[in-house]
Amino acid sequence: MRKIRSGIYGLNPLLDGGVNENSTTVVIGRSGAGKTTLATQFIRRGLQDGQEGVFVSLDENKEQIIREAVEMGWSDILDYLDNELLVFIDASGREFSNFIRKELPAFVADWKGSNARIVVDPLTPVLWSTKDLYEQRDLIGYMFKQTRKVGTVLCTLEEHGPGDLAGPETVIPMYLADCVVHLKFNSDHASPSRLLNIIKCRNSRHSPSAHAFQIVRGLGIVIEGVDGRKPASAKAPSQLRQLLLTHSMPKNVRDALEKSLDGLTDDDFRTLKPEQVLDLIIQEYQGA
Amino acid sequence: MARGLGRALQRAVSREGTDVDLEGEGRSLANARRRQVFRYLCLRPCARIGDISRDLKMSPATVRWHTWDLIENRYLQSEGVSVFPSGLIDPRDVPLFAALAAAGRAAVLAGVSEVPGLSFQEIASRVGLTRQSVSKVASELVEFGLVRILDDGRFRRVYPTGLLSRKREANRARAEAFGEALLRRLSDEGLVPELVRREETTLLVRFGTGAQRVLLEVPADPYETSWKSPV
Repeated sequence: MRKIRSGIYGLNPLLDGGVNENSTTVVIGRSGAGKTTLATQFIRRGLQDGQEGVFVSLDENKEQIIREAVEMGWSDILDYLDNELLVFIDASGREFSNFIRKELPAFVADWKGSNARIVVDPLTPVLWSTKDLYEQRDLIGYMFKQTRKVGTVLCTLEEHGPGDLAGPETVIPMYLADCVVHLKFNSDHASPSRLLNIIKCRNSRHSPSAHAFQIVRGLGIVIEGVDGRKPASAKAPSQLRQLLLTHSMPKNVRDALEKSLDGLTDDDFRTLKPEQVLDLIIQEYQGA
Repeated sequence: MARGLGRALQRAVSREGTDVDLEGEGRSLANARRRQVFRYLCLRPCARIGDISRDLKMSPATVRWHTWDLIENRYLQSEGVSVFPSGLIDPRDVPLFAALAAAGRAAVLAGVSEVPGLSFQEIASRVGLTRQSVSKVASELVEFGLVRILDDGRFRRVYPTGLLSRKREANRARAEAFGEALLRRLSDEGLVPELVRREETTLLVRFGTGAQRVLLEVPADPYETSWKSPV
C-alpha cells in the first residue's frame, strides 16, 4: 500500500510513514479540537504535490473555513481555488446523503482511478440524515467504499458527550474507516491541552500512545516529541531470534517464527520481554 | 491524470434535487420540471418550445404549461412568441435571441467564432447544413451585426464581430439585479431562498419548504450560453 504524506507535522511517523493512499480516515474531536485545521493541512499538502483537493463542508460555512485558512497563513488556498485545483462543495447533510444514494455510483464510474484528496467536514450530518442505525451504517459503508476509488478520503466527526466514543454516531464510522484519529481537547483549565491518539490504522504499524500537539499559526498542527529520523530499534526481536536458536523445535515451526520476526521492532513488543515470549512459544509447541 | 474532479463532484451534488417536487401547491418553482424549464430559458432565452421539449424530454404541452405558469408568476416574460426570464436580458435584444434560437444560427456563429474566416462551404460541412442554408443564415447574422462577410476571391468568408461579448459585458449589472430579483421572488413565494454561491456566470440558490430543500443552478450569462454551451 502506498503511503502519502499527511501534511500534519509529526503525524507521518506515527502512521508508519503516512496515510495509506485510497483509504478513508476519520478524525474525531469535540468542537475546537482542531479537526478542520487537520483536514485543511491534509488537503493543502496534496495540493502542493499537484493532487486535486475537494472540501465538502456540510452544514458549515465555506467562507468561514477559507477565512480561517487565510488567517492561519495559508492564503495560497485562494490560488488553488482560483485555478480550481481546490473546490469547495457546500451542501446540507440531506443533500449529500441523497447524492451518495443516487449519483455517487455514476460519479465514481466516471472518475475512478483519480488521486484527489477529499475531505468531508463534518460527516455527522450524513449520519443524521436517517434515524435508522442500519441505514446509517449502510450509507457510510457505501460512501467509504466508493469514494476511496477516486482518492484518499478524510472525514471529520463531531464528538458529543463524555468522550468515550461509544455512541453509534462515532462507533459506526470508526468501524468502517481504515484509520481513526482522535483529537482530545481539554479546555477546562487555564492551560488547554491537546492530545492526538491513533485508535486504529489498517495495514500500518501505528503509534499506540497519545501524543501532545500544538496548533501553531502558519504551521497548523505540530505534534510534540516525534523524531521522524530516528530509526526504530529492534533489540527485542533480535534477542528472541537468538533465544530461539538455543532451543530445539520442529524445523517448520522455527522457520515460520523466524520469518515472522522479520521487520518487527521494539515498538511491536512494547513491554513484552523476549524471555517471556520464548517461554510461551516453548509451551505451545512442547511435545508437538 | 484528468483534472476537474472537484468541479464535477460539485455539479453532481447540485444536480441532486432537480427531480424533487417540493410540497406546497401553487408555488411556482416548487415544481421540479418547472425549474428545469426555467433553467433552460436562462441558458437560452427565447428558446423554442420544440427545442426545450426535445432537450428536456418533456412533451411540448408540458413545456407550454410550465412556461405559462412561470409567466403568470413573473419568473418569465413574453413578447410575441418569445419567452425569456424577467430581467435577464435587454428587452431590445429579444429579436436577437429569437434569431439565435432558430435552427443552425448558433452552430454557424459558434463555428466562425472558433475559426474566424471560414468560407460558406467550410461552415456547411462543419455544421451539417447546405451551402445555401449557410448563406441565408449568415446574411441574417449580418443583419443583427453578429458577423461580417468578406469576399476573398471566389470565397465568401465569415468573421465574428464581437458584438455579443460587448453586449455580455454591458449586461453584467442587469444579470446581478436579475439574481437579486429572483431571490426576492422566491422569498415572496415562501420558498426561503439562500444564495449559496454567486459566480460570474451562475448563481447557486438553495430554497425549499421546511426541511425539504433543493439546489438550483441559475445560469446568468445568456449572451454567451445562448449560442455556445450545450444544455
